Amino acid sequence: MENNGVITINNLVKRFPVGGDFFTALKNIDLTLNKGEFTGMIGPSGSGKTTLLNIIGGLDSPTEGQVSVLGQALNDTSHGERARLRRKHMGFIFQSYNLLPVYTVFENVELPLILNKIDKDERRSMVEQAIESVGLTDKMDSRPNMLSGGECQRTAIARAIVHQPALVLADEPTANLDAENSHHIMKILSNLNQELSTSFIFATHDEKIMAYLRRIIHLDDGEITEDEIIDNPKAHD
Amino acid sequence: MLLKIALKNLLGARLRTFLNILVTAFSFFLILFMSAMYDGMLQHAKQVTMDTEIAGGAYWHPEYDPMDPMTFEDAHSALPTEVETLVDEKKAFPVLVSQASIYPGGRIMPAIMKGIPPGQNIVNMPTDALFGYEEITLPVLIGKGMASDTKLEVGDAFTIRWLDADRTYDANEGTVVHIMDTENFKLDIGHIWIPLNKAQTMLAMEGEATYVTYEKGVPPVLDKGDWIPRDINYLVQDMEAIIEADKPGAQVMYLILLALAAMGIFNAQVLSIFRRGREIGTLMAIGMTRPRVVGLFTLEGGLNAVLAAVATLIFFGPILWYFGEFGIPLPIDYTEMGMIMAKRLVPVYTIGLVVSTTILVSIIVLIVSYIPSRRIARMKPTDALRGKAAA
Ligand SMILES: Nc1ncnc2c1ncn2[C@@H]1O[C@H](COP(=O)(O)OP(=O)(O)OP(=O)(O)O)[C@@H](O)[C@H]1O
Ligand SMILES: [Mg+2]
Repeated sequence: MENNGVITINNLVKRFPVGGDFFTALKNIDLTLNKGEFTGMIGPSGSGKTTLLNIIGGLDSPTEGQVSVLGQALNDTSHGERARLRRKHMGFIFQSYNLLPVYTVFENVELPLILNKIDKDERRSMVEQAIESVGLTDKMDSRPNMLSGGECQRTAIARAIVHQPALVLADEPTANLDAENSHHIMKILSNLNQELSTSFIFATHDEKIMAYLRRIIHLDDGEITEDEIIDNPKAHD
Repeated sequence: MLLKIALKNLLGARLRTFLNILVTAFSFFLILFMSAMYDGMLQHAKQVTMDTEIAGGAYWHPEYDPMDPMTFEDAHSALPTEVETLVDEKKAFPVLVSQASIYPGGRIMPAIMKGIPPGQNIVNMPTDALFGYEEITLPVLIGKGMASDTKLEVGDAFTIRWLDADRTYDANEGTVVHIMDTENFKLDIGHIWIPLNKAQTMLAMEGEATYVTYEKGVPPVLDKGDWIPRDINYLVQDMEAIIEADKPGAQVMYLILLALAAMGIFNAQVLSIFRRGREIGTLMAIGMTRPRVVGLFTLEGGLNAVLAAVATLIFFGPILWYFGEFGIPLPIDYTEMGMIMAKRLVPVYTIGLVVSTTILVSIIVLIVSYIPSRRIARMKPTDALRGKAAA
């Protein structure tokens, strides 16, 4: 269904210039993701997961092929338009959190709303709600250097979802966390997915994440080798 | 919105911001201070010259050229009537200038001999020291610099030889009655001052003078004969020329200081962009456009300057004020170097100076903030996110 297509990728190839030559990081990628999916890309290190997420997020551009995200053909958009798409409709979660160190939890989470020019009162309630959903209300005024890894990642999640994006891209969100924190975070994310039907794509090789996924795309050496639909994720038992 | 974020970034990065600002504030301070010192020097030199030499202006004998002693021989005549009237009303005084040779301690030296009415109080010179020496044939007033050149002390007598109106050489013995401590080297170096009437008698130029200096506020006279009026503007010209000649030096200094300030900010800015690669990538991932990120970083640099201005006021303001109030003692006596310098130099802070310095520094800060920030526009967000800032 065209309307439900959050991401449509046709014949994607990504090559990086390396020295005088090229390295092919992604090839022959065809992929469709629908609204509300909770999908993971798994594969060994160097298989192209981050590269694919970056292209979907419009942070990087394909060498060949078409990528359409949330109804916009990324090939035809400018830097500014892609920035706008991210600002309005996407959230990013990084392995290394990437919080702004001089901002408090509240201010970090508030930033996307400021960029979206949401007025102050509405901003405050949205930020508080997002922070509450990740269980950090009591750390609202702390700076990242006073937080544990799990708390940092929860802050990053709050920042990624505060503007209620249609699509969240998460690159190894649990790689730096212990088992307990990983499960905690995956539960938060899968709740959000169910409540707001936000679409999620993870890049991961973490077994704990896989237990929550409803679709797993296997990448190897820049190619999709398998596309599994999981009707009954283990973690939901 | 950008302003708010920029401000938050700056205030959030406490130590980093503080150091950046301190460096900028220090250059700011130095620039202000140096310029104010220079202005203070100028003003002082002008003030001293007007006070001790120029007063309200002068009428010159048409032949008189102070730069050319050869003209002195012919530069004398009776005063034009109206000028004479001014003198009679004690609103002006005449001076008779001639060339002389003096023989202090057996040496021979050329000198400019000036006859001046001892009773004048139009310029600040201790001419009344020339009064009341009945037993001395020729009382002489000299400056400190001259005294040290000639090794003359108060009470010392020396021979003066001059060419009189009949072009015959004559000689007399002068006695130093006072050594004046003046800041105006032009009254000092190479000068001997004697009472006007003695000069007129010695030179056989009764009732004649070379120039007449009048006090401030005296309107121009109509009947000045062929004498040439020289107003204050004209008379400070040569002093201004000396100062102008000094200007390139001051400007180089100014430029060096500006360059230092600029380099400090440039460096801080480059460092900050390198170190904050991830932050830049994150801002782009969150959806900030590149021009806005460039704007943000430029603004942060610019705000540095604003905060630096405030910091200058807080940290260095008291120092600037103190010097402005009490001056800076100078260890060297510059009189002998042919400069008019106060014993305590007082910097002068004009509004113009502060405003122009602020504007100049701000423009430079904006430029050096913008140039490094511009490379952000060429940065790939994916590289930035990996902490790779170099484009
Ligand atoms: N900017 C780049 N220039 C050159 N090669 C690159 C660049 N970015 C990625 N690559 C290469 O592309 C391949 C895929 O990289 P990618 O980061 O997508 O892998 P990944 O699946 O995310 O691996 P990991 O699990 O280690 O994060 C790697 O071999 C990598 O070296
Ligand atoms: Mg990766």
